[in-house]
Amino acid sequence: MAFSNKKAAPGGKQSLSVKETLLLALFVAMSLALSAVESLIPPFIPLPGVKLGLANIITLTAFGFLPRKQVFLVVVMRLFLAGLVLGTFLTPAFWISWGGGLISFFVMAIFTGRKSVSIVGVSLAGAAAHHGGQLLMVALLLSNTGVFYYLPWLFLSAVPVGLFTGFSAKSAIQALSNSGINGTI
Amino acid sequence: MTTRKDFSSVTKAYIKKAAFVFLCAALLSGGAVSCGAERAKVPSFSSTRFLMDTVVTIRLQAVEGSRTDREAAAGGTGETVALPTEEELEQLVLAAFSRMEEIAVKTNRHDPEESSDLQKLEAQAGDGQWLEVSDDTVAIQEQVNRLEREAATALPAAGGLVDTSLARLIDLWMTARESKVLPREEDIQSALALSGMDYIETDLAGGRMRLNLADMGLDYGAVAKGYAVEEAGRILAQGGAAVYGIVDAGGNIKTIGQKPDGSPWQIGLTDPVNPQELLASIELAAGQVAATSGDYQRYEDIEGRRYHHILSPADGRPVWHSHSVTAISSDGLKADYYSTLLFLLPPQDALQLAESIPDLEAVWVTSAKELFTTSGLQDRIKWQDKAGYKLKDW
Amino acid sequence: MAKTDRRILAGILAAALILLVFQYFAGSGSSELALEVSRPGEERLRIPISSLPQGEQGRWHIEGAAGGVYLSYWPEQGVHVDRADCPDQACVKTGFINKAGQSIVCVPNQIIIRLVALDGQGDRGKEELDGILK
Repeated sequence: MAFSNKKAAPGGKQSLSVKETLLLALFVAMSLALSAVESLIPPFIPLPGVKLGLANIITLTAFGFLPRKQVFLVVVMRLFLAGLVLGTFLTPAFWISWGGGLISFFVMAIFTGRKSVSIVGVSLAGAAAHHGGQLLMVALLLSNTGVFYYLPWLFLSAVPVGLFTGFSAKSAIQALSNSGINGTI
Repeated sequence: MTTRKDFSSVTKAYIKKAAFVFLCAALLSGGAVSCGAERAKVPSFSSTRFLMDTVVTIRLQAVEGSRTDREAAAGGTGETVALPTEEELEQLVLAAFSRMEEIAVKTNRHDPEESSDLQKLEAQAGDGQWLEVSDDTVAIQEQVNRLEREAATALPAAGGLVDTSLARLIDLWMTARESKVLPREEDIQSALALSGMDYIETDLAGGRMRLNLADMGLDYGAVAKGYAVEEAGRILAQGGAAVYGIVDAGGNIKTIGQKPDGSPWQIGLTDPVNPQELLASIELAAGQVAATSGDYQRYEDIEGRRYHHILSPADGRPVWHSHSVTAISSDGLKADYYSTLLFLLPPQDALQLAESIPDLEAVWVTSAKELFTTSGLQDRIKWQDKAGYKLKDW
Repeated sequence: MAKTDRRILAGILAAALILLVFQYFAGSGSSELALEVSRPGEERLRIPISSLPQGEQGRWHIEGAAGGVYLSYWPEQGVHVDRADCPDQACVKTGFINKAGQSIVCVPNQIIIRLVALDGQGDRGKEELDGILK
């Protein structure tokens, strides 16, 4: 399965291969597109700036093809570029997306590559972390812990979102590997 | 090609799922919107802003009831009072706020652009030049001077106690509270040497003022809020008998008009020892202002003692006669002025003074935790049962 | 689904459930509610809910970073933002809040409106006050 097939490029610390560069660019572009689509969805919880985290589909997919370091790059570039593209750069929504993006990356990075966890499991944990991270950021921005009132609702909503992104990423990985792309160089 | 087929079927499933999520989200948010506002029957408008270092809330409501009720409210002159719309109330409230903001700006000693009247006066203190200032800035000083003469005539010890020229001393104590280090006696004395109401010269007709001692400065902290509340009330009163409401600026509360059910206004008095709790409720009549000066409002406990913000020009230190004093008058500045003056005096002297001044009532919470009021207020106050306090009968 | 997947799922659901139960019990049992309005770095404003202008008697404006929000209190339903000066109107979409702990957040205005229980102060709620001298 392509997902477990995630070895680092030979030569380890060398600069990115052409293929890796291409994959990286592809993932950044795809996650950016998903962020844009997501920005059209009305807020699902009455906290502006808090998003579903559809771009996690691409983060999860990237884990199947790239080493963690490169995936991190995908996340950071997507967060940065989404700010520019969506016009939220340096606004509260921008920082909230960073809170969600980074925390969910780290949680997914921990769970990914384990035998006992499938991509759907990683996705669920990532979705919960994504929502929690966003809320943490809102609390920091407003210096008020009252917003944690929404935490249980966000956790509950993380379940369908996590399932959706998980299965989507699974299909995407399969589709990408079938079309001849795989993690090894 | 199988791969292409896979890709497109994946994409289709994707779009279906995304559309579903989209639909759910749209329905959810649409449902929330539709349970939105309904139409108001009796117009009212309230607004809260942060100005003069406090939360200020103005509430204004139209007098409910029939046309004849409103005729009666107009004083039986046969005229009908038109029921104001919410928009008209909003305009009055916003006008009252802009008036308060205007006063706040002119009397601000910490304007970053150094362009307030008080900052400009301070900048050219001692150089003999008159400075054209706003009518408010002169009016506040003139009213303080008049109140001071009245108080000093009734009780000589009250002369000069509420001093608007204590800027240096206030700064000194502010630094002390921030750093939690008490000021040195010589610093207090030199700050006091840079004060004195005699050095303030006002020209009401010419709209000018000057300070006749270099490095001195004015601080209207003891009276500016009372003046601002009064001015806001003046604007809200333009609504006439058709409106009633309240200007709540924390330590200064003014009532506007009469509640339509005829009941008096009820204002809670904060327990100075436990500021989350109430100590009493006081009835206020239409147009009255209640102002509280308390040692719990701005303070720092240093070396086991509470160093609060109400300073005596006699020794340049906080005064510990009372925990809080509340003064009630029909004029905001007068109430604010007397809440400070009565706080600075020993309670017995303060009571004697308050009883001799017309249009003034007061409530004391002394540092010995004794509670008492002026005679005119005894029937208008309801004390809560609070352990540790004793009600004093005179 | 792998074994740990189910554990993750169960963990998330359990966390949500525990928090909800906690909130439910934290919010009940107090008679009088107060509305707490806070903005970063500023004094919190606390108003007993009985002294708010009530439903049909109009709205209450709170100044905020993007202009502000307009609140109203409907005794049957709770507190609600009718209008806000912000692009997303998320606080309006929150609808009514009526239990202690619930809040309405307006990020562009940096305003948080929260219902809190006036615990141990049940006595003071008995008579309606028009204001509190601070």
